[in-house]
Amino acid sequence: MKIKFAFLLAVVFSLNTATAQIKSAEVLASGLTCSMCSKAIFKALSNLDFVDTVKVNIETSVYQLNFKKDSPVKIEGIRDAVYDAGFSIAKLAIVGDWKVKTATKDLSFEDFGYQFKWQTKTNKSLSNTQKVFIVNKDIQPLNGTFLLNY
Amino acid sequence: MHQGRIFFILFLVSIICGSVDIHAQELYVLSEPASIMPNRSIIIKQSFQQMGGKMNNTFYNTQLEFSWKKNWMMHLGTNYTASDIYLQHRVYSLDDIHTHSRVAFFGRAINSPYNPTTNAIMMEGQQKLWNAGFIATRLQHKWASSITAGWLHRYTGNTNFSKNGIQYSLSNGWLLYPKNYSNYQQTNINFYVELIGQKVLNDKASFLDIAPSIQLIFNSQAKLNMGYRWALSDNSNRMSDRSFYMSFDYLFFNAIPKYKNTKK
Repeated sequence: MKIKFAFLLAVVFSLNTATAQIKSAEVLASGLTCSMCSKAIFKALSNLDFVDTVKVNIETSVYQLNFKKDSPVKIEGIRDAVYDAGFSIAKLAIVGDWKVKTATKDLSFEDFGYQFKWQTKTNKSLSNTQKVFIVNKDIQPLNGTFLLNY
Repeated sequence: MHQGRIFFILFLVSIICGSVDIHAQELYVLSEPASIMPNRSIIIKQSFQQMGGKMNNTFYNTQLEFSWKKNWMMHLGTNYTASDIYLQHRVYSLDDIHTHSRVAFFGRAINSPYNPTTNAIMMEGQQKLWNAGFIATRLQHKWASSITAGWLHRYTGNTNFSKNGIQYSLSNGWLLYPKNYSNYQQTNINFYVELIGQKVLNDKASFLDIAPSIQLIFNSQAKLNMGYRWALSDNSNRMSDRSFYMSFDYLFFNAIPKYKNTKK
């Protein structure tokens, strides 16, 4: 019985971790105007193993990423793909199923395997489609923490 | 000298600059921008150059270009007589939406079986030389300009030609078509004007060339370049003071496998 219960717990836990992940992201790339440059970023993002689809608006340099289910999203991977292509990230927004559903001023917490801290001035409850921006310069974590705003 | 031509070109450039809704381009035909090609990509480039003037040599150059780190790239080339190696390192990069400023250093070495035959330091493999300098590139929505300045040092063998020189260039580029990007399959047409100059030290020799080029980009991955270069001023006694050039290159994205970074 105990074993069965433990097994059930493990299944529930694994289901939980499988669904609790970053679902999509939006990247605004900066430093480029040419379509060849845009394609370099597109190819680098498409090549990430956790990325399912990339949609791009070449004119605005906005890349819409959808991620594979059950595949952990690596924020550094997205960042490096853009910087390795030779460009920068002006804005990175993520949409996810956050454990804590309220953006709370100065709250530090862990989610999706990362350490985050809200940089908001006011508190706000998060919907499942709320875009949350990572505001660190060049998406480099500050003392291991990604700073968030909505 | 050729003032009418200079003014004509400047007039043409100002018309193109003045037209609305065009984007800047910095994929220059004869010089490199300070930007580095995408990391882990490879470019294979084949060029053809028909020289004109007192001598009419033809050069076919095959080049392999690659980047193994985001700030570094290398070119290896051969014209089947001489060979060259080029290394570029980007040291400064400031990006904004549709805008960037970049600075890079470069070094080049050309190996050639020949000794020089002119005062001017020719770069097509007519002599053994090395060359180093910097590139500064500014890209803004409608305007992309790049300056290059470098030191040239050649091996003169048993000749009495001056060994050192300085080179400089100013490149500008514009996107003519399409006015708005909608997909990567659209063919792009770019127009470039490059000024390429040289001053040989300890010698009165110098030249300044102008090189307008047209570039077609297919599938955001392949480039076809065509242009003509001629001297605006020249007292260097070059064998060839003009050339028609054409090149085709193909970019292979993510061609070099990613090595595992165990630090993360």
